[in-house]
Amino acid sequence: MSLTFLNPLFLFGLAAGILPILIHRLTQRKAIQRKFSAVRLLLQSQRVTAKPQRLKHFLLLALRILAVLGLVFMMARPVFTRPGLASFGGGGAKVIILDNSLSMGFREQRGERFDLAKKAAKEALQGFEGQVAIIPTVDVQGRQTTPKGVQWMKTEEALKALEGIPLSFGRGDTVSALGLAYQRLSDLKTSKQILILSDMVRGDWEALDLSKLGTVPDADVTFLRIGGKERDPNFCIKSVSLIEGEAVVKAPARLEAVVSNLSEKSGTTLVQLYLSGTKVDQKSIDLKTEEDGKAYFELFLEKPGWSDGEVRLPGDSLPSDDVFYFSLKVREKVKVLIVDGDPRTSLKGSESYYLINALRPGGLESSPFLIRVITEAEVPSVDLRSYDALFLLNAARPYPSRLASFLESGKPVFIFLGDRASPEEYNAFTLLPWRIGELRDLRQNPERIAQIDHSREALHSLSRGSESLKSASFRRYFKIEGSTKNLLTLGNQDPLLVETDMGRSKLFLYASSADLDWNDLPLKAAYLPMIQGLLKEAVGLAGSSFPAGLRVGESFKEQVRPVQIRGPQGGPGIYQLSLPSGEARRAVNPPYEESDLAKMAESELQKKFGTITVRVTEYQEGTLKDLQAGRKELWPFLLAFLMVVLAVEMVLANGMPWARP
Amino acid sequence: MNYFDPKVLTGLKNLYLRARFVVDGVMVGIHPSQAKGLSSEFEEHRGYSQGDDIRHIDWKAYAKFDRYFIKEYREATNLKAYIAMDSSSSMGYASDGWSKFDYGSTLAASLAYLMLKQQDSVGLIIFSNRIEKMIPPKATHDHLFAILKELEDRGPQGETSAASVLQELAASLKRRGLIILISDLLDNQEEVVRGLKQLRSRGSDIMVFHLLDKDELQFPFREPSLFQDMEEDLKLLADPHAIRSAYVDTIHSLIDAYRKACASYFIDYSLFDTSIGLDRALVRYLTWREKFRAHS
Repeated sequence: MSLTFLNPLFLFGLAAGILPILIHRLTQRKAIQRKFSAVRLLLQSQRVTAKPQRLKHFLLLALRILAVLGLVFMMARPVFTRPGLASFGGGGAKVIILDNSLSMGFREQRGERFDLAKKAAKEALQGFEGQVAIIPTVDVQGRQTTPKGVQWMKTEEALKALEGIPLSFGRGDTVSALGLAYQRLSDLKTSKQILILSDMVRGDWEALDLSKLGTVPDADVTFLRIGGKERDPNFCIKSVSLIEGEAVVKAPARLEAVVSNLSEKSGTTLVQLYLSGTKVDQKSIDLKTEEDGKAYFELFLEKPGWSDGEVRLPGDSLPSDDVFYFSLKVREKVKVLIVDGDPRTSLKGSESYYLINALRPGGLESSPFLIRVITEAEVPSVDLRSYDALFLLNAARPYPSRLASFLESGKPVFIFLGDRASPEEYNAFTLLPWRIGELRDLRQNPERIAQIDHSREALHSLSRGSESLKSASFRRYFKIEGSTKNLLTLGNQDPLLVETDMGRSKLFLYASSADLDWNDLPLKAAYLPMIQGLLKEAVGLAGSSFPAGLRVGESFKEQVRPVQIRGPQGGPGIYQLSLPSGEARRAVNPPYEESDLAKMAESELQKKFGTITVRVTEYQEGTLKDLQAGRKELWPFLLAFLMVVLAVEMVLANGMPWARP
Repeated sequence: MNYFDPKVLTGLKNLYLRARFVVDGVMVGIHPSQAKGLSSEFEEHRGYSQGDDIRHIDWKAYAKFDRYFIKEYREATNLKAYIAMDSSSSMGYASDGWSKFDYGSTLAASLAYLMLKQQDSVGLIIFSNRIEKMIPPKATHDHLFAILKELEDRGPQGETSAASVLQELAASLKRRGLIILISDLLDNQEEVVRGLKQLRSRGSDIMVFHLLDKDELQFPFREPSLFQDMEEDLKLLADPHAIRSAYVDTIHSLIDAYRKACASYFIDYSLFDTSIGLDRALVRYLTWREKFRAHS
């Protein structure tokens, strides 16, 4: 609501408000001197009447000033304008900001909120004769990135444009939408109005910062809230991740789905797992208010390649956030060749015993690794190309030509030394960046691990188990010299495990034995995760099987055009990327912020808009006409007011006509 | 011609003439037998004439002379009266040339004339805040001129303290009688009443003629004025319109207080607006005199 004046120049006349004071001062009559016999009685009377008299004089003066000011105001012709929601039959410029964010897909009894918002916009435009611009809060195909992208239209065109705006799956960018509205309105001289049709969820409006918008024109801002001010109940899937195992064929893995109850009440929901469009499992979980719950699914993947999955929550009023997509890159088991340089008739006595157990602790089926153990004698006859990783355990020599070609193919090699390893043979292999030095025999005073390179992902995860590693004692080892990248270092600063990059592959050298002959590391709890971690990292198994997903609105890092292969068009789903290294897939999911349907309070919104008055009205179908703008001239009221003031002044100054002496 | 109209009386400079004018005017309307004949000391017989009260026929003389005679007595002077006249400055207030003092002195002269004519003794006390002059009561005709001279020579001046004067009189008067107080009584009401009470307790009869100008009663002023008191150094700048209502209430409260206090002590109280005729005051006296005669 605002007050304007048709003749604002007359307001300078307000200075005339001082006239009654001047007149009062200038026309004060000089008192007549009069002798009187009963002045004492007069004084008594005056004591009674002095205060009322002073009050009366003050009131008279105030009434006279009020009368002058009222007259001036009346001549300035004040007009009281109520901005309302629609200027029916009027002109001016109106920007309609239409919230098409994901949360507007909430279905209530009256229908989908986005449809209600469109209906409200149509009602607001009914009979409007000015120019209209419509700005959705979520960009539609990149059309409105600049103010020029926002077109002024006539009402008929605006109604058509309104129909073309779809409900999005993204998060509303209210700052941009308001910024565009302000920029478009700032050049206009006519009356301006911004009508915002939104459910006012916090996810969209909490981040609103008007300081980013620059100059704000004097436009009336009206919120037409769709869906009430109470928080609507909603469950959504917060995240899905592979918490155990790898996406490897016929190897068990465990999937975790985190479900949020974004409601004021506790409830139960089904969590369903779909793989390649087929439901494979479902769980029921109870969730208290504001609580996150976890549902676990066991995966056993049969085929290698990309496998698309969904976690769904059925029976929700906001279906757009009830599907969480993920994509798994399922690979064959990693083939590992172990060359045992010290085989024994008893497996336990062999050099490879502890390594094999570390790579398949639960048996052959549960391991992502397919292991073959050979002796040194078999090395020349084995085709190394069919293996993904090679372990040399206490081998007498490194087989330079075979090793070189294996490394060239980008596959990792792990060398464990021992009593059968010949330093001369290894040092003769010029491709190796190190030199194996003297054998250190510390049986009297074993050395322990002092430093662990936690920057390596495989060792970083051991940070909590570092004490286990550091408790291992090393009685004998070869001193490794030369340029090395130490992953594990002993207390005397001698390297224990070193690594070097060789082209696309990696070469690891362990200075001690793989069995218990020279150390007791294989007995330590941290041994298994360290070996598995290093191997998975080296063969690219870690992390690649469950690529990180995106949220709607975020951009792909890859500079290729994604192709959507699953999910609603343009929304969340599975996107395929053709990269030089091969096909990649990314899951895109709804923004979590849109799932929380808590609403912004009117007072909070008003704070964000600062001095700009914001009106918030709940939309009820067919009631917009009651909220339409109005204009009323105030002079008749001022005239009546003036008459009343003058009448009161007369009575106060002269008393009632019938009571005069 | 209205003999009691102050405007008429203003034309008469001689106080004796004024008094006679007033008294004769009053007596014209009163039957002579009411003024004479009721006395205890025989003076003469006269022949009966129509209208005489048959109760006064001397039946012994009728038996002797076979004619009706009326017995006339020389009335015994048993009333001793003091007229206490306020001569303070406030008595000089005159709204239309006829001050309270003029009114009061004419009233005093008229009363003295009337009393002496009725063979009563009359004295005069002129006071302001003290007794300025005191003429003891006498019943001789020449005494009137002494009183009139004193009234003519005096003018309104000084402050009023009727209360202290009344208390002084109460202490000094040895014989009971009538005291006629002529004053505007613009004094401390409680003190004045206390003085009247003391005087009354000595057995004196008291008549209070409370004189006020019509300005004092109605406060008809319009222009903002600086009011200066006629007796004290008091000033007040006021808008009469604003203060009128409260003032009128105050003066009437004062009058009511005097009226009630006098009634409670059997004091004859009368308020006189100086713009109305003096006859009312004289009639008031005569009425009292009749009562006095009836009781004595």
